[in-house]
Amino acid sequence: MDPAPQSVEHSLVMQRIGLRYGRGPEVLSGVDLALPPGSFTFLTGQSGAGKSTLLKLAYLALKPSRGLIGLFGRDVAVMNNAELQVLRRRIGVVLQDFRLIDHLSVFENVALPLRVAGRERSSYVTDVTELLQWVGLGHRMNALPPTLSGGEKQRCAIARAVISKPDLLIADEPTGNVDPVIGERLLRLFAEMNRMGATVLIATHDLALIEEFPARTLHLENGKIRERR
Amino acid sequence: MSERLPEQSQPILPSRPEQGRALIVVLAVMATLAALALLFSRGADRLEHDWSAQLSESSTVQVMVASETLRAAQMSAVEAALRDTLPEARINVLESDELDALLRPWLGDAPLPDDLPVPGLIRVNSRAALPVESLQRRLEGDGIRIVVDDHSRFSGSLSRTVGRLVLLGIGLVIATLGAALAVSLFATRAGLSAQRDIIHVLVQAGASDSFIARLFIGASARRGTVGGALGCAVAAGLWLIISIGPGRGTVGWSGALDGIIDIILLVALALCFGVVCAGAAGWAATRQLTDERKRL
Repeated sequence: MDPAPQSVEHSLVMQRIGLRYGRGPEVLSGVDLALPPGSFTFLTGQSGAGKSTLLKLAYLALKPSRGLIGLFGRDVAVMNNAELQVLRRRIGVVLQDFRLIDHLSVFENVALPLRVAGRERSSYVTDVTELLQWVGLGHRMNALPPTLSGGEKQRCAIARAVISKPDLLIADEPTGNVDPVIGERLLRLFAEMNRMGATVLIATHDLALIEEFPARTLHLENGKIRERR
Repeated sequence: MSERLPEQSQPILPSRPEQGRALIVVLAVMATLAALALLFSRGADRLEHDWSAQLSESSTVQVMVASETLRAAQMSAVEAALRDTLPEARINVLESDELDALLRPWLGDAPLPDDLPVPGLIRVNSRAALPVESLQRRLEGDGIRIVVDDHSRFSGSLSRTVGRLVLLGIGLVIATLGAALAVSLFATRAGLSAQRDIIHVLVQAGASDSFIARLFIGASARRGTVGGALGCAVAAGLWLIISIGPGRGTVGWSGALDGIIDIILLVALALCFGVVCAGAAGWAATRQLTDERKRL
């Protein structure tokens, strides 16, 4: 029997993770990963290497075929739905395709995690407004996502991911659709979140960006992870 | 610089007016049928009570006249005995032309032979029951034989028939509510499929199944109640038209109290549509979300 995730202090632990879709070959094979709290980590790898799949496992959108996942010191395999819901609220996710809700305004999209958590509108209006101003969307709060540019959508998605001050922030190619200046600014936002205590895991293939923000870098290749300096 | 925000939060699920309107129309038609079935049942029940009350207050006394020469005397004797027994009763001795009219459906318009033994008929209307046996004994002493028909044969049959009609009406109401439930189930499943992306975002944000289900329950309850209310209003309008004109003795509303009770029942029926639709949506959403959780 596999041991329980070893470290209660780690934000994310993966032990001997394997994943296959249906009867196909393993996309991930024996992946081990540990993110200490407050760490900042880049995940690199070629397209199709399984970066997005690994992130899906980390933010609980997929179940592994084998192995153990621990979040904030708890084995997710033994947690019930209610516990997983609470756990998801501690994770902020920025997806490659943004997943903004088209009929909701920028403000409502960003406020969504707070609404889900049951907070009253009056208690979060100021927080959301300030954050939107910080990411440069103060003048677009009532705009609908289809009217936003790629960069604006990206910033809106990032604002939604960080509004609830998550303990773990996971981003899949967060700078993929923006110009280098905005990309750098967004990365500064992640760094600021990290400085405030959040653990950050960013999947990217933008090596130039990694060079500008030196941090621990993991490389995913052939379904396995190796440390890269 | 920031924009001015609306006071209220936007609904998380998109409103699709054209789809919502179509569903409301379907539910309104169902509610109209259910409401009409309910009103017909109630009307038939009222009618049966009216008729039964009228029948129970009336009876027909047949006087088996021994010979035509004695007819007038015997009829007078029976009439006097009835007035003596039931002083408050309305007593009406049928004349020969009225007797002929009663026989016409069976014998046609041909003149009746003079020697045809036709009993004399006396119609008695009284709230008090006619003491048949004592009356028969008293008249037998005078050599007069009578037979009393209290119409119980008809009223029993009427009661049973109306009872079946009422059951049929209740069955139709239940069946229609069942159809509304099925419509709501399908609509919720379709909605869940159509809003899959939004649901994924909500799940990722930590929304519980009940939070997501409530979004569908609210929309479905609104649709059901609005559809139900429209349908019941249409049925009430139709019923009002039926009620205008002939008064007591029809299935329509013959009094204010009947109308008020029926309106209260129609309001309850509209609310039932809302509750049934909300329940169906909640069940469908919770079940589908539970199934999806198993895969995650």
